[in-house]
Amino acid sequence: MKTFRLVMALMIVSVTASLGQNLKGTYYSKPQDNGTLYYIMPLEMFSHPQNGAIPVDFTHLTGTGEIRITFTFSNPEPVNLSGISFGADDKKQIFEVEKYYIQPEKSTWSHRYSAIIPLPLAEHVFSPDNADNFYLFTENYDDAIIFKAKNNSWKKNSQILQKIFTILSHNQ
Amino acid sequence: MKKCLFCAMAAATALFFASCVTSPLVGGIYTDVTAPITATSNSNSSKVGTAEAKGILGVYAGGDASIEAAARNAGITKIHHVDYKAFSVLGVYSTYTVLVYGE
Repeated sequence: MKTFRLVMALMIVSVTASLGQNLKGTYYSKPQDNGTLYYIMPLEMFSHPQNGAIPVDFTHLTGTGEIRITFTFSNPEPVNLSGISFGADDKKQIFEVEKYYIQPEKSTWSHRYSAIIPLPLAEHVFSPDNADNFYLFTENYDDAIIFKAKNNSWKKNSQILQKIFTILSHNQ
Repeated sequence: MKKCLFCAMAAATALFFASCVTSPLVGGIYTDVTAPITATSNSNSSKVGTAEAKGILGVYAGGDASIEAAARNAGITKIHHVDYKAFSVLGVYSTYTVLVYGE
């Protein structure tokens, strides 16, 4: 019985260590000649009823005031994007995207794109109280695929992001 | 006697599963190690790409954690250096992530 308890205790300790909400392993930083490069590991903050989750990761070089958001999404058919946006109001800004690839994956198509957005906007969009939609505009802005904020993980992930954004703002 | 046997078997099983994760340092219970793979003479990265493979119970392992996949995930054509992150809990759940820095 004691051995069983010991094994269970060790398992709990290890699982707790892996799940604890600290920032270890959530971002990496690298000093360079032109500043410090920060990379935030992929987080699932938005999802679509049919297309599923859209993991997003972030890259930031200090001094630029910008952050690169990179994302992967699935769609039944291949689509070319023209831009992305956040929020629901008419004044939302649209940002051009850079395509990395579109490739078949099982019965769907996997798309990977990135866009550069201002750092203050990222801080606003990914704040715990915001939970806006993520708009992917298709070619010629004819249509948009709308990913909604994931209610069950938004708060936890946005709190992680806010902590990292605070680190970024204090290390410019 | 039975207790000792159970204890030894549990430890051996944990070590067996833990050995499934690739890292210079492997914890029998918990592993979370980031270490280098390679570096080039290129300087100043602007992009970072990751690729991940997962393993479960030392029975199933799958995924593309190649440098090529990580570079493609960030549109990197000139690689500066490559790190990896090995993560494992009791060898039951393991991930191996490659991080490619470049431009």
